[in-house]
Amino acid sequence: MEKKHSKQFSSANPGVVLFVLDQSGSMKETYPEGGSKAAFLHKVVNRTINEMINANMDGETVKDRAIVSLFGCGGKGATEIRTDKLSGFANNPLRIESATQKVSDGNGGLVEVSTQNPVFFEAQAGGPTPLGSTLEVVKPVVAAFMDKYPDSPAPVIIIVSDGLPYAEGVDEEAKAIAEAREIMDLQGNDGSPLIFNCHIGNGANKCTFPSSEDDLHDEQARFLYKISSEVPDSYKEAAAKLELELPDNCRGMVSNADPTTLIKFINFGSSGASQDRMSNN
Amino acid sequence: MIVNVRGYITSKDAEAYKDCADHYACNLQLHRFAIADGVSKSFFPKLWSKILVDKAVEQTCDEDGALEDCRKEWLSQVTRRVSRPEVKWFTANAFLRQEPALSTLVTLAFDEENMCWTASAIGDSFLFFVPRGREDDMEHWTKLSSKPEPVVFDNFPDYLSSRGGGKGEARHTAGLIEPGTFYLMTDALSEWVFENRGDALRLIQTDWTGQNGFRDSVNRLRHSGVLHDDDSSVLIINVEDDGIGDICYGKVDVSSLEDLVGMEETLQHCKDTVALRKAELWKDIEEIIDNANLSEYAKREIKDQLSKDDALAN
Repeated sequence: MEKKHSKQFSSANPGVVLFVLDQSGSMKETYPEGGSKAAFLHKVVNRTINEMINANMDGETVKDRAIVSLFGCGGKGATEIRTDKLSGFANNPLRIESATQKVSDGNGGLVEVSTQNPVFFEAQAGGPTPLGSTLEVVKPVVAAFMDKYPDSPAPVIIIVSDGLPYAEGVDEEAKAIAEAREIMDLQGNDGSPLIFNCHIGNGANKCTFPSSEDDLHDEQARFLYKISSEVPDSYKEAAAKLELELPDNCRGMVSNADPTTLIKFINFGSSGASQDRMSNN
Repeated sequence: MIVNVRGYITSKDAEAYKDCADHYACNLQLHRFAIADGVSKSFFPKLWSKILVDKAVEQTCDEDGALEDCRKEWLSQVTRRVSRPEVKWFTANAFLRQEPALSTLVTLAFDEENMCWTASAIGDSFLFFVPRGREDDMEHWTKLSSKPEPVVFDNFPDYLSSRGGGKGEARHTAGLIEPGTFYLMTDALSEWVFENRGDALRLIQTDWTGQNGFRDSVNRLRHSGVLHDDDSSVLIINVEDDGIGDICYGKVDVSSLEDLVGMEETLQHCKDTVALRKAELWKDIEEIIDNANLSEYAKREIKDQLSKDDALAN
């Protein structure tokens, strides 16, 4: 029998990478890199989509080996920001910003060139964190994808937030745990969807890829543990390249992530759509 | 010697011929053959693999000079494309980052004067020479690629880079021309041959007798899980001894990728035209029905009936 979570992203069987992005009011707080948490997360996710496009581009066309879905979780409730094939993002960014980049001049030196940086969605922050309600909206999207693409890799859901779920009148924390479990219980040919969680913090008391809930000493980390999938072997190579240490049977989660860890974690979670685990075909 | 040549090519299952990054070329005047597999994640790999095989079947250049010429040609063509006003942001960025195209390459040349052959290979595309009657004895086959023994197919082949450098060194081999069959193949087919040996050769013999037969056979193998879904191309060069020293070509059936792309695009254009005309026609029909002195119910019934008929016709 074929091993679960071993299928590769391909044009015939595209994978889905679904981001759930915290857009609550606390995301306005400053982050160590300067600017707000929301602005930093916005940059990282835009850049990640850009890298997926580069990894699936053969010159003038982008191969649709991945579908990217962006969901916001904030003052407007659960909002689907954008779901599109990679070529859709590539051909229709919201806007293009100019930037400069240093590249090799071919003679051992560097030369500064002007590059075009695409922006695929806007940063937002305001209101509570209705994560449970957002996962309730995400669940049928994931199930529909698995129905439509039964031979595709199991969907990957990357949740990034800066605190515990909260919304007036609803126990969003309990709801998030229940919804996440239902998503993780969906069954496909490549196994169940994977949920990876990153909690943005200041890097103090950082907890990465724990193997047991007993090792966790704060409420935030214990919550994330409950809503995170065990990391399959197929992700271990990508983790090693990013210098992320993965103990056996660990969960795909980080709490109190500093900016560097956040970037690495998102690269790790989306590695199926970039170079590391993608078919060379 | 009578030499029969077959060449077939197909793209990945969900892709069109225009997406195929494999190329091959034959020059029957110079008795030279080449096959290349462009690495699809690199920058303009289709262009690079085509330039490489076209150059490889010319006789005039030495190897290093030929590769430099290929690089200049690739850069010239890419620069032209990137200079177009409608260039996409991701193409322009990759060009500024000086990203290269990467490709494998296998070449085969017959020396008619000395009745011998030489071959070279870099990457995980393979040349197999199977002496006549040795189809089931793989140890008697010549197997050439730059992959180390034991051969393991992975996502990290050696390649030639369009911007200098590259990965790995080409390997070379040579032999006397004798009855048997040369197979030049890109990686997915090579892996399948390694795993199925004589059985694979027998299937090639019976099923790969034309482009359609090849494509159908490859799709069947993919769907049964024994062949990876990759661009797949093959040159089959069969040598028979007719008692005469010269090389004489018998049956030559080599599909042209450009022709297949053109055919596919023309077919799509025809389908689009039919769809457009049908949409226009449907508008006219709706107008006729809407203007008829009938009840709304009757109008709806007619439209439903015509829709059903249309669906049946499709």
